This record gives sequence, C-alpha cells and structure tokens, in this order.
Amino acid sequence: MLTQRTQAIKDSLFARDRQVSLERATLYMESYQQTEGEPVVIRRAKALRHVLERHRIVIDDLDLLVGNRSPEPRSGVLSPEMSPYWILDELDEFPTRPQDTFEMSEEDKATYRRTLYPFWAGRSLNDWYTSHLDADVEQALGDKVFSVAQTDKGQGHIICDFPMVLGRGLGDILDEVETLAAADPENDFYQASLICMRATVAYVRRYEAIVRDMAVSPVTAPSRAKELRRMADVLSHVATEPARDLYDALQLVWLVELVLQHESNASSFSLGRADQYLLPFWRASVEEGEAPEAIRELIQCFYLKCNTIVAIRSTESASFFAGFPIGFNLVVGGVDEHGQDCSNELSSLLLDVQSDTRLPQPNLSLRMHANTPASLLSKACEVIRLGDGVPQVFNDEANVLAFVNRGVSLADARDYAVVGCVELSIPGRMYGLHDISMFNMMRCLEVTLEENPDGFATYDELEAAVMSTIDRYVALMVRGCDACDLAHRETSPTPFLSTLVHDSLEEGSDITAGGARYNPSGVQGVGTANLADSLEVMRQVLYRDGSMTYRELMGMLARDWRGEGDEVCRQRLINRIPKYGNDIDEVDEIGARFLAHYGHEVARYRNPRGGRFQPGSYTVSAHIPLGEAVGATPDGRHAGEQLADGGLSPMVGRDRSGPTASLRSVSKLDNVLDSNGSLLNVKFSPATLAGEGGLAKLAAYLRAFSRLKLQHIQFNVVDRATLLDAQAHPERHRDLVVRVAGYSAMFVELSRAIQDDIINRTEHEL
Amino acid sequence: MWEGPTAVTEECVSNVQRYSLHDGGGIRTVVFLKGCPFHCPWCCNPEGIGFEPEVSYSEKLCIHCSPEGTDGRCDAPPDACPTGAKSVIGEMRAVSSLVDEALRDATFFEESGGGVTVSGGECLSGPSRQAFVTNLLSGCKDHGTSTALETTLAVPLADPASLVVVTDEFLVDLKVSDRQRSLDVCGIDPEVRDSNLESIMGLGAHVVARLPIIPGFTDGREVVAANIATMLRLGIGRADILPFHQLGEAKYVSTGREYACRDLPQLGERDVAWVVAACEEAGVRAVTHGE
Repeated sequence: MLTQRTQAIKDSLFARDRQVSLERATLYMESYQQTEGEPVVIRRAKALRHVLERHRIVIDDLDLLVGNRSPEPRSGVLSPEMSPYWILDELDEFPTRPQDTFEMSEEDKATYRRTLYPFWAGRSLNDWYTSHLDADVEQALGDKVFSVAQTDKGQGHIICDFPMVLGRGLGDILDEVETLAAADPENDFYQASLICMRATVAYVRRYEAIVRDMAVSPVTAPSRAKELRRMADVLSHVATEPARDLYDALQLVWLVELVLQHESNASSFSLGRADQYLLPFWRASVEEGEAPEAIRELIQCFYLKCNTIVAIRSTESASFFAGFPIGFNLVVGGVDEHGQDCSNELSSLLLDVQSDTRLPQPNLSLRMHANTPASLLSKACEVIRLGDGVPQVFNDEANVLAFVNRGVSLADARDYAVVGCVELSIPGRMYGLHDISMFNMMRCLEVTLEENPDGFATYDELEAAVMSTIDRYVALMVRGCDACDLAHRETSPTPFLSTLVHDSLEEGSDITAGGARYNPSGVQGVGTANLADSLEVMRQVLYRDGSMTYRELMGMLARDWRGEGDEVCRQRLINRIPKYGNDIDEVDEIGARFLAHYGHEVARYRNPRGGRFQPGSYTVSAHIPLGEAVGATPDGRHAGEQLADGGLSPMVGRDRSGPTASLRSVSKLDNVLDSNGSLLNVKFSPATLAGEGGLAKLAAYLRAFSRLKLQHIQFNVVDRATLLDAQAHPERHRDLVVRVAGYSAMFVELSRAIQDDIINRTEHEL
Repeated sequence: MWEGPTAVTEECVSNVQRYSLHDGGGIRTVVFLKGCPFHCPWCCNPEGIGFEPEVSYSEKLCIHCSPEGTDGRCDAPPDACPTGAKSVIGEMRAVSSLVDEALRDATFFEESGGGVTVSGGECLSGPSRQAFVTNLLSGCKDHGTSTALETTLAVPLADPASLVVVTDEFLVDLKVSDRQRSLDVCGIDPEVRDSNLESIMGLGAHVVARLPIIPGFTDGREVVAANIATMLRLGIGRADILPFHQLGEAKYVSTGREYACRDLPQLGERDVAWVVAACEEAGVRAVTHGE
C-alpha cells in the first residue's frame, strides 16, 4: 500500500501533460560558448558543472528524497549537442505525434530555432557520426538492413559502481581523483574528472542549503520542519561521506543518477543489484530502530523518483522504444561471486514495493538459478501476476556462462546485472554499447531473394546464400557502429560516469576511449522466428513437395499476396507448414542455425575500444518498424507487417501448441551465445495464474525455464483490450491461453458467448 | 525415443493437449482417445464421442475459398483446406509416438509434479484399448513420468491389476446416482463402476472422484448426497467439483452434432460451494475444478 504521502506524489506525476524542457540545453550551450578551444573532455565536464550549479531545484512539500531532473517531472529534456536536427524537424509534432507526446511552448520553439539550433548545427555528435559514415554503410542504413542507435543521444546502458559510491563516499573518490590529477596534470581526463567530482559534491550541498532554508522558514509546519532537518542531515553527510543507513544510501544513489542524467541525457543508467549493495544500509536502518513502514515509504519514494525522468526520443526512435522506457533496471536475487545464492530479505521487500507503486519504473528483474529459494520465486510470481509485466526473469544458468564465453572473469560474470530492457552488463566494469544496433535478418533474406531471381538448386544453397548476405551486412553494421562509438569518444566523453566505472581512473582514460574493463558492442539479430518460418516454407514447397516454383513464390511476394488465388496459398503456407515455436525440431533448428551463425559472425569483429562485438536478440518495440521495412515474406507475412515480437518469441499467432512448447522451441537455440541479452514474451490470462495452484504452476514453469537454459522471460498477464482484439482478430492470438471454468483453454477456440463471458470476468478480476 | 514393449495396435487420438492444468496435479499433457460408448447429454468433448476419425468444420476460420456444398458448408476435402477450418479429428497413433510426444514436456512435469493424463472419450472402452492405455502409461512411467486416467470406469476391466500398476491416479466421474436414470440419461451403469472401483482400490489404486455438477442432472441435493455416500462407502477421500460450463458448444457445431444442453446456465465457483461444503462435512477433501 502507498502511504498518503506517496499516493499524493504518484498522483502528482501524472497531473500535468509532459512538457519539453530547454533548461539543460540552454545551460549546456552557455558553457560551451565559454570553453571554445579547450579539450572536449574538459568542455563536457565544465558544461556538466554549469548545469549542476544553475538548473532550477524544486523540492516538493511531500518529498523525503530530493533531486529533480527538470522543473516539472517527466519533462522531455532535449540535448541538441547530440543532434539538433531531428528536434528541428519535429518541433511542431511533439504534441501530436503517434507515440510519446510532449507539450512545447511557442516561446521555447522560437528559442530553439533562434539560438540552440544554430549553435549546435555542424558541431554535434551526430555531425561527427554522419560525416564519418561511408557510402555503403549509408546505403545499408537507408535500406533498413540495420539501424545504429545513440547517434543523437547519450549512450547510457551502463551501471556505475554504486557499491563503491556508497561504501567510500563522494569525498573519498574526490580525494583519489585529486591525487591522480596532481600526479598527472597533463591528463585531461583526470582534470575533467576532478571538475565533475567537485561539482557533484557542490551539487549535493546546493540541495542541502535549500532544504535547510525551508526547515527554518516561518511558513513551514513544525512536522515538516522536522522532516526537512533530517533531509538536511542526510544531504550534509552524503555530500562527502559514505552512507550510514538506507536513507543515506537511497538519497545518494538518486543524486548520482541525476548527475549521470545531467551529464549524458541518455536512457538506462541502470541501478544494478540493489538488493546486494543496499543490504548493509537497510540492516543499519533496521538496527537503528527505523520503523518498517518508514523504510517501506522511503523505498516507495525512491521508486516514484525513478518515474520522474522520461526519455524524449525522435519519432522514429520512439517507434523502436515506445512508451519512453528510461531503463532504471533494478535486479534482485542471483548468485554471488562464489556461485552461492545471495538473495536476502531486501530482495523480497524490493519486489513487494512494486505491488505498492504499480508503475513502469524501476524496471524490476529477478535473477534466478537452480537454487533460488522457493519463497523468493513465489514472491516474484505474485508480483508477475499483478499484470505489470515485472519482474522479468533472468536465468543465471545461462547468463553467467554467456559472459564467461566472452572472456569475462567468472567472479565478474556472476555479478552480472541488467541495463535498459534486457541487456546484460557487468556493474561498474563494463561499457558495453549494449543497444548500439538492430540487425534485420529478414531484410537479409529479402535482399538474397532479390539478388537471385533464378532461385537456388538446393535448399542448402539457399541457406548458404542468406548466411552470406548476413555476413556482408554484418561487416557494414560493424563500420556503422564503430562510427557511432568514435563519435562519442570524439565529441561526447563522459568523465563523471567514467570516474565511477573501472578501470577508467586506473587507466586515466574516459570510458568512451576504452577506459572500462570490459568493452563489448552489443548488436541485436532480429527476425529469427520469421526467418525460420520463411525458410521452412521454401524448403517444403520448393524442394520437398515441389508444389510451387521459385518464380511463382517470388511473384506472390512481389504483389504482396494480392493476386488471384494468392490468399488461399498464403493461408496454406501459414497454416499447413510447421512454424517456429511449436516444438517442431526441423523448423526450430533453422532458427538455431541462423542465430548461431549471426552470433559467431559478429564476434569476429573488434571495436575501437578493443572489445568485441557480441550478439543479442531483443526487439523492444522495434519489430514494428523493422517489419515496416520488409516486404511480403514466404512465411505469409504481408509487406510491412510486424516481425515476431520480443526477439526470440514465435511470430504472433503462429505458436499454437501452448507455452511449454514455445519454451522448448526457444531452448533449441544456443541461448548462451546471446551474451548481450535476449527477450522472450509469454502471455497468460490472469485467471490461469489465480489461486495458490496457479502461483505454484507459474513457479514450476519458471523452474523449467531455468533448466532449459533460456536467458530471459517476461509475462504478459493479458488484459481486457487484448482479449477484445483476440475476438476481433483470432488469427493473431492463437496462442492465448485463458482459464475458463474448470479448464484453461485456447481463447480463440471458444464460442463468442464464452469469450464474452471471459472478457467480462477478466474485467472483474482486474 | 521410447523403446519399451511394442503395442501391436494403434488407437484413434482426437487431441494431445500440452500445458493442461486441471486434469490431475501440476502441468500435464493430456492424451484424448477418441470414442465413447456413453451419451451424457452435457458432454464437453463431443468430438471425442465417435470412434472413427471425423471431419470438423469451423465457420470462424473458413475463408470460403472453394464452392460450397448443398448444406452451405465447404465440400472440399479437409486436406485441401488452407486454413484448417476443415480438418479431420482423430489420428491413429502408436504408443511409442505418444510417449515421445508426452515426454517432450518432461522438464515441466518434473518441476510441477505433473505428468501424463489419458482421457477421452472413454479411454478404457474395450480390452484392446485397455491394453493400449496400459502400455502407454507404462511407457511414461518407465521415464519417471507420473500418470493419471480420466474415466467413467463403467466398463468391464480385462486386467485391472496391470492398469493399477501403471496409473498413479484414477480420476473417476460420479454423475447421475440413480441406476435406472443413469442408464437412461448416460448409458452408464453405476454398479459396474462401483464394482470396478472396489476392485482397483483393493489393488491399491489412488482414486479421486470427479463430480460434474450439471443443472437438472447432477445438481440435486439427493444426487450429491448419494455420490458422497458412494465415496464414503468405497473409501474415496478426495473429490474435484466441476461446475457445468458451455465450453463444448462450438465443438458441437463444428462436428455437426445436436447439443441438448445449449440452454443450460453455466455455473460458477459460488454455485457449487455447497457441494464442496457437503463433501468436506462428510470428511471428503474437495476442491472446485481440481488441483
């Protein structure tokens, strides 16, 4: 349950429309105008300092934790230093675009056009990037074979060393930086780091001063004054000292998060293994005699803070990442450096608070393994059952091995956490460009077919040709990613973040220049399900039963199945030929071959930071725009129709054998290769999971998931809207399992009346 | 690959349902054998009544791609149907192929305490089918998978001892209690059933009674009381209470059958709470819908 205070804070988050904010952009530009000619890393540090010194601090009467990104919560903070162009193009569309809308005043628009745009045009990160792309890469990007991300915003997708921050305090880290900078005065990174650390300490003191003023103000009620005095004490302490208890720790973590945001303006400065690093501080609070209700309220406040920041993306980017995910990924559970379960009381409490707040952030994740305690798993299942889609579940049995396979030490691999959505990372030690590219394997199929109008003598030749196309475009994708990687190094180093990521201080270089211990680039292979389905269709109709010719099939694809008799043929290809996701080895193995091929191919390449490329398989919402780029395909897709969601999930409506069969299909892929992370969506109706029995079966399903060595799973506990859509478009929801009366059943196989019944009942339950 | 004793026959299977949650404990795979000698008017699996493969036609999935027959339904052979709207229900399957299919979900069975359930139709109708079922369950047990049977048990049993050895749980329906009315309405002789129950329980079988609560047929106080008395007399300590639902309606339409219970009201958990209470009062542990 939320308290009166936290309920009011939650309500206030959504009380007003989201606004675009130019505050940071304006301050940033002011600083850059004063630092012309200085080294870029110093300029970035000074710009951060300027923002921390000047941005407007807002402390609400209800706040127990302080720290605001923008004057209004959930503002869209623009970063024209990354790319001024898309903003100019879309300035008038923020309030009306299809996804992720923001209000923007005419005055701000004018300011943007008059001052911000002209200043940054020609000198942004994006300028560096585009001017270093070669023609082949540009062509491939234009053809949507792959995308390169973070070309118009900060990288993010990283977890800094929170245990170090909390355990040593900002002051001790500052001392270390002072020593290093004094010993090596020529090193610009150390100078920049020093500027950032001093500015951060001063930033905390700014909050402290304001809180102290509020505490002594005659208009402040005595009860609030008492709270403010405690807040001032916390701020005064954490400005330089290690955290003493949970209050200190949560306040310090949040302020560090804010500084990271002010520096980079990026998605996914994730929270890492909070149940591990917060545990000693939580225990201290308990021992101090802090009431459990007070502790819970404080965590609620922290969770709510995580919802005050949203990412503003370009319209195109918002279609890939719909719903402004900001990636405060918070992990509980898992094994310690010795491989032993290290879940604790706090793991459970952090899950519990989600049932109070019921908001998208933090994005909770459970790390599970063979010995995850039944009580923690059951708690996670209870929260999953609420239907918010969290926690998502990650499998140590696959993910630790995945990192070891990439040369990460066993102890570091066992400490993995999650950034962004599902990307796996090593907290405090890895700058992984985890979300740098999405590679559209279905476009590779399409290109292969276009380039071979006469077809292939054998099925094996067809497969080999598609793989060769994949290889060709992987080489181009690598060049595109490297251009973006270098653009960040050249224009947008992140000295504050680097200070908190090993081994940047030891090496004296920014993470963008290779200072982190681990330096992969994570590139997602998208379209496994559709590719397996398409190739299986071609194998059957062209090479097995010979019921069609290559030319006939190409003709149907070219006219998007709109010729005489095409629809009947399309239906046959969809319904009468095996599809990925139904535990049919032959077709699942095609998916496995291609995912493995892609994974091995990308891992051949090194990036400019000395790390290697590594594969992932997730789409977030990108299966929609990536599908738009692909014409009709042999699996029966229409031109422009979405690709399979998730990354490893079967194509929507094509898995008809239930949730155990789809898990088995995914288990045939070599999931351990996907060291950058993969994504599997599974849908259940709320009633299927109802009662103690439903909970136990979900837990058993997850135990099986872990044994099958999948990496990730998340549950959609289906809502009324989906059921209504299933009624209108049964072909899209053939896999939907619902609990009816005495049974669970496939929703689409029920009569209209029963469907109505379930829809109505579901509404009552929710 | 299962390599146990080879069954000499195949049986007609209407469906193999994975991820079945309420036909025995845990996550289960249910094998539905096609064909039933009885005629309960509320049957929710009408496609399982006939012993032979039959054609099913679902208007909802039809895209009307071929000229329609005289009755307004598609007259093309099921093989030619592109969407599966017209399909054949019932496939002759050997024991080994069913064991292989069932074992695909072994991981889920082990983690959930689930396993394989054979259902129907009436999965024990006739001695050769009983031998088939015994082989099938034996094959599952050889791989450590737990087994269950869903049956009326109102048929002569050729070799109850062998069946008991391979069946971890018998789910046995107790429906209309009065013998003559049961024979009239369902064709089921409760005396045959009870004598079989005595026989298998004497051999150590674990039995759960299943009480479908059907308005006008089995929802009377006297029927429930009689069924409870049967459980007490035979020493059955657990009952699943199954409130009537209209799940099967669409399947009556698609297999071209008349449905006598179309207008009966569905029952919810609350409607059968009194049955659960009556069982509990008599010392029989009862749950609605089953575990």
